[in-house]
Amino acid sequence: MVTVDRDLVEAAQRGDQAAFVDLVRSRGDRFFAIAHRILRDVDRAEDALQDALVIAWRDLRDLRDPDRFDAWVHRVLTNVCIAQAGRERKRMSNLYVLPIDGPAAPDDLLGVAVRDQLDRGFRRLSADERAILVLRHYVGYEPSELAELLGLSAGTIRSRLHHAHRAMRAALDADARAAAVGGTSA
Amino acid sequence: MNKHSDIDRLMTTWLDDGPTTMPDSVVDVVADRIGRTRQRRSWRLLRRLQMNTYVKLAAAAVIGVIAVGVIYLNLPGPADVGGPSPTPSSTASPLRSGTLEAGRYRIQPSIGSPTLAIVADIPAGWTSEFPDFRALTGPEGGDEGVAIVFLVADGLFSDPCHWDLDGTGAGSQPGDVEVGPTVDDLVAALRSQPQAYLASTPVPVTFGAFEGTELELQLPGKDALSTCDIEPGDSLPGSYFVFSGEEAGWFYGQGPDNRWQLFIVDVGGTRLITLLSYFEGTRQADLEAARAIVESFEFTP
Repeated sequence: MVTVDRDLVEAAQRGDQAAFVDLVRSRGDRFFAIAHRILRDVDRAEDALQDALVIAWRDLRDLRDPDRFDAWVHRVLTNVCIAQAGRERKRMSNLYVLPIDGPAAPDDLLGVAVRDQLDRGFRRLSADERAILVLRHYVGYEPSELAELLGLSAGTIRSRLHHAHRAMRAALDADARAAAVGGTSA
Repeated sequence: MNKHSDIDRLMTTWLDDGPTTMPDSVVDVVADRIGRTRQRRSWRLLRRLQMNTYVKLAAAAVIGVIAVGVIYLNLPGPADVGGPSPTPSSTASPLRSGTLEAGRYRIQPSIGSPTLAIVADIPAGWTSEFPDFRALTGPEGGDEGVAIVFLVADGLFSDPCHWDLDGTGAGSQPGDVEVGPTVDDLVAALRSQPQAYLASTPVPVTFGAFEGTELELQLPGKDALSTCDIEPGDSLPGSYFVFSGEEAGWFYGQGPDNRWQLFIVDVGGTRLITLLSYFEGTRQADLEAARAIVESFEFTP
């Protein structure tokens, strides 16, 4: 993980817009990747990232420890992504489908079938559970760090992780059973 | 690979796939938008609310007893126990940290009373400081700000300006004025203090369907505040602590001439202080929004 430039954060806290833009340039790729993995859509991830960064700018003086800039933005970004997913869910009434961007990479290590199974399992999860999976498995937060980051108890984090893992396993199992009886997994 | 035996590794590999480059337009859009967005002045919420072992155990015990009662003994749930019978909306969203959209939210104002909940209507632009602080803050900060703060106090400082009684500078130390358990005890203690911070006559108030007391405190100006004790590392002019206690000692005067409007009410055995912190420079619209939030409160004891 790139070490945050404490001077840039402190300058931005004093109102230096150029310093904040430098922070966005240096860390935006990682933030965008997180938003995309939660929302599974480039345009929505871009919107969420823009909103989160403007909120981060507005509230930056609330950040006590400049070295915690990344984790603090992760929290803001996660909340924005969850809120956006909630709005999208309401808009789409009964049918909730997360569009998946782009085809699998040709050198896909998992294989198209497994990726497809994971995609389907993932899109059935709540936005909170998707966010926790991304922060745990993509960003690498430990459950105790997730609890502090999201303001939830460690027990709640463990429970949601357990449920999300079980749902993902179930998606893989369901497709395996369908294949075994000659069904299609598409 | 056994795809069912290693979901952790599968998830990590799968999530590693995907875009890792931010679209170029993001930087331009953000640069433009922050140019039109004023930074909020920060609040002086310096101490993190910590739940000590005693409170954790007490909270766990309460949850356990209620769970056993409801599930196994068919006892009434918390909302059915005594007192008024408010009916908070089941459509309220849990309160997250960060800036809120307009909506109806469920607030847990006390760590030590985990079944106590408030449902409130909150307009867009307010910020939840939970879980670090039991507070909601308005669109502005500093000496233009307004905040709604939840406290459970068990004591007072007889001299809120010179509260560093043990000389450590730690703001979490107990106050030197013990207070009885009722709302009237606390109001009487506030009235009897030599400090001239009481700015209004306490009046009865119906607050979220519960009876309580409303009063206002006027905290000192810059000159007086500059003589007050400070915590190590805190910024001048000084810190002014009125209340003490595990769930009250984290909040102090937010600056010179800070004004506190207090609503003190006993909800199911918890003496809850809802505190509106504001200044002369607070925009009237923000103050009215804060009061509208408070007026919308529905309690579940």
